[in-house]
Amino acid sequence: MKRWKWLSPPVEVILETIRTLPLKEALAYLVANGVKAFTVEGYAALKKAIQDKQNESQYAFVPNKNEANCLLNFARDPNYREVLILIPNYRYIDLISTGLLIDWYHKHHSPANRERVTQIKLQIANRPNGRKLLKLADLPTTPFFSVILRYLHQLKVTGYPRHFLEEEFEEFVEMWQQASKMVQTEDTVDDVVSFCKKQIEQGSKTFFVLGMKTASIIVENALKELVSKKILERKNYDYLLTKSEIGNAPRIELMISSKNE
Amino acid sequence: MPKKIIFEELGKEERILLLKAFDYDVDEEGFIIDPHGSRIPSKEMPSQFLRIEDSMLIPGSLEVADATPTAIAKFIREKVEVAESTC
Repeated sequence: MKRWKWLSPPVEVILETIRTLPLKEALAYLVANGVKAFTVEGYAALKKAIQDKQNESQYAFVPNKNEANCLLNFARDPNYREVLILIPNYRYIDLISTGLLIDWYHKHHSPANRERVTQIKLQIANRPNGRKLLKLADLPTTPFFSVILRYLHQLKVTGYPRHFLEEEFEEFVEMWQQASKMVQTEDTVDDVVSFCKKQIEQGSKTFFVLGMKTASIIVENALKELVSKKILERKNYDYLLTKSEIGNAPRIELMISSKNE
Repeated sequence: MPKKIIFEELGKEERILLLKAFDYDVDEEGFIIDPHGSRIPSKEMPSQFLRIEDSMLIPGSLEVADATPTAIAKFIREKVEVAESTC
């Protein structure tokens, strides 16, 4: 039986074909036609054609283009834009986008997305200083992120320089898990007051309490108690209460700071 | 100056061919070899080297970088003009 040998087209034909193709398609065409390297005699022109297309700088080739496009979208996220304004030179600023990506995966949960979150977190944890970087990447996945940004924004408006904002943000990255309470509907006013007292006893410079929907009332009542019993006043603490609504659901943020700092 | 960039995926053979067009290569263990013959260290994990399947190939003229979300975010922040929503 006669065996057919597949022959690739002449170089001139290949070159003419890829001339008008986008880079990705040109590469696919070359591979399909048996071009695996450019060391073959006569392939210099093909190499040059690929170089020229790459030098048009239109494409970035990544393992997962959907994920890269998500990251591209986060560049428009209001909180991310705010970070760029407040602390543009922060060393780990790009982990904020990673945090937003993790948050996106959480909101679009599926077994594959959960697996991807684990993978991303593992990559971060394995980096030098991984524990801290992981805390930073987790921050945008929490409601405390916007609270912290609002606080930094206030500092900026007050006239604090960028390096000070960076230092403050750095401190928040380290302490936000310990210095924040997300109040749940099953929490009581006493639970919230106890949390605040503990933070004050520990000398926390700033701490946060956040309540959403029905939990917002618990936060408000806890604040009333802290004020009426002069717990904040006696220890020289001040507070900032911010009320907002997400849809029809109330949201309340309480930020308590020492006046001594 | 930021530019509009399209993110794309490439098959392994196409990736290798693009690398070869810029005198890079890939060794038998899947690590990318630079034009001087050395493996390329990861910027995020300096003790590790970039592999063909988890690297990013970016313009300028051809740069090879980590393809973690953080590295892609850095590339976007520094080099990409942010246009319409695509996610």
